[in-house]
Amino acid sequence: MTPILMIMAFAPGEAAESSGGLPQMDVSTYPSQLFWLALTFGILYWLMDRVFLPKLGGIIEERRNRIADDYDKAAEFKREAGEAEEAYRKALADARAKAASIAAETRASLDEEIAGMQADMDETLNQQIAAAEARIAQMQTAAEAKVREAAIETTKAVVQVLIDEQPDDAAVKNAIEAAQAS
Amino acid sequence: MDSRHQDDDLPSIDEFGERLDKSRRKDDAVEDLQRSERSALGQAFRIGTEMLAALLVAGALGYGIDQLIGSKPWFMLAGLALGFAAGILNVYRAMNEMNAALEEESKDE
Amino acid sequence: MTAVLATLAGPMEQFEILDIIHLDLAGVNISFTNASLWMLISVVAVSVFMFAATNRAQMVPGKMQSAGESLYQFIADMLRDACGSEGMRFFPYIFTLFMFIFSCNLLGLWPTIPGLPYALHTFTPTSHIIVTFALAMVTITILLVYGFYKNGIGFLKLFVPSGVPWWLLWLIPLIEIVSFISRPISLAIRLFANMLAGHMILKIFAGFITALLAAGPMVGWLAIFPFLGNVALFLLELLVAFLQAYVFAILSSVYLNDALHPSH
Repeated sequence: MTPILMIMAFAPGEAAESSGGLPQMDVSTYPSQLFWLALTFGILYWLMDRVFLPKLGGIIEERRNRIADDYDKAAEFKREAGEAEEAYRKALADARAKAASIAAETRASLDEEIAGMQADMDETLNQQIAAAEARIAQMQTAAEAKVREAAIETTKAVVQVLIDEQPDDAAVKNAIEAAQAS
Repeated sequence: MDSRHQDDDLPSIDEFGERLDKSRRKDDAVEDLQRSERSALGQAFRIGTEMLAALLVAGALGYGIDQLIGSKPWFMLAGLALGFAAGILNVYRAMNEMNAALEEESKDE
Repeated sequence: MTAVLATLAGPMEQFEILDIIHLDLAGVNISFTNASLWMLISVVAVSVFMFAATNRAQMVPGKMQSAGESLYQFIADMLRDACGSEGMRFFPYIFTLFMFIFSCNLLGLWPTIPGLPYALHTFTPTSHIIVTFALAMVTITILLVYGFYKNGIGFLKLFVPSGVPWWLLWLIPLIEIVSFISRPISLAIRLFANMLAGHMILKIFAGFITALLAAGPMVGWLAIFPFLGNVALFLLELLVAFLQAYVFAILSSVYLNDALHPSH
């Protein structure tokens, strides 16, 4: 028999011989095992329940809250940045609108002023033209009257020379007007 | 000129928002994944002794009754049959829980 | 040949309970044994770890705090999946349960320092069914006490699933009761059997190595095979130490869920 076979045959046998069966089945050891199990397990449970787990759970909870907070804060910052951007855009648009309105206003007032000046100018010119026209009309009437007077005088003189008779003014005037009309 | 500059800056806020959302979602996903893989593994190791334990319990109960009222071996045989049924039930339940865990896992994907 | 065999510790010896300090309480033997010692070591180890993780806790965690927080989240998520947010009231218990079992499982894999007296050899408290059964019974006791406290007599609906036809009403509750009683048994057996089997195989392989090395240069080189086997097995056992603690905790959570929501 080789040593290997010897050992294979022998190894399990020796245990049975030395302890007379499974040590696990030895009921006399149970009270001691149960007692010390209760004691050690109880102490460990107490330590876990009162000391270790609250500490560990506390820090995990705290970290989770912190991370959630940080996410919220980041979202808040993002919202604020968005708002700032919006405000900036709005201010820019407002400024643009204001500039445009000022330009339009200026243009309108300038236009008004120009229009006013133009109107004034037109009025004085019209007045001057009207005055000139009036004067011309006056001069024309005066000239016409003088021509008619001259014609009457001439006619009277001619008639006196021809028939040596002083004609009536009214008759001469009528005759001239008749001639003029024809 | 001014408006061009503004457009360059503009996407960075959206980009930041995207990155924020992505990071948040990743945190949740990691937690979910770690969870579902485990329960199936635990259940797989369960089945072996379920049958044995049920047979042992019911057989011992039957044997005890036989000893009490001297009806050997009938109650022990009935107990073994009962134990067999209970063992099947145990295994069936373990399988069900395993399937549930696996289904939940595949639903997550 | 006898010299070779004498060096071999049997695979079951590592599970033997040996008194370190003999104690009696009202006639009951509650000696401080190697099992007690390793429970104590596990609790101290977990406490030291938790202290390092929570001492000077900071917003930006250090290495220890990160590890502690990961475990916290891991167990909290597991419990919340099984019981909903109401289940968080059981969190300190489930967390303690997981850490205690994991620590016992893991420290039990520590290789024994050669030359120590027997009572100080590495011991795995969770390889004893009385320990795993007691832990399972704590869960079931919480389940029953809290279940009746919260639901009153309606908690018994747990044994009468809705939609059972009347002619099965005598059988289904029986099956449900057996299924219910089998829960702590299966919890206890699963953890105990995994620890027992793992340590036994490790020990047997270790026995092969010693025996082959002692058998002389002709066959000594063969010891490399059980050695490699043990390395792989050790890594597997590290995983099992974690997985079994996890399974125990998650099933305790699933069971406790019945106290909160008794209808299946």
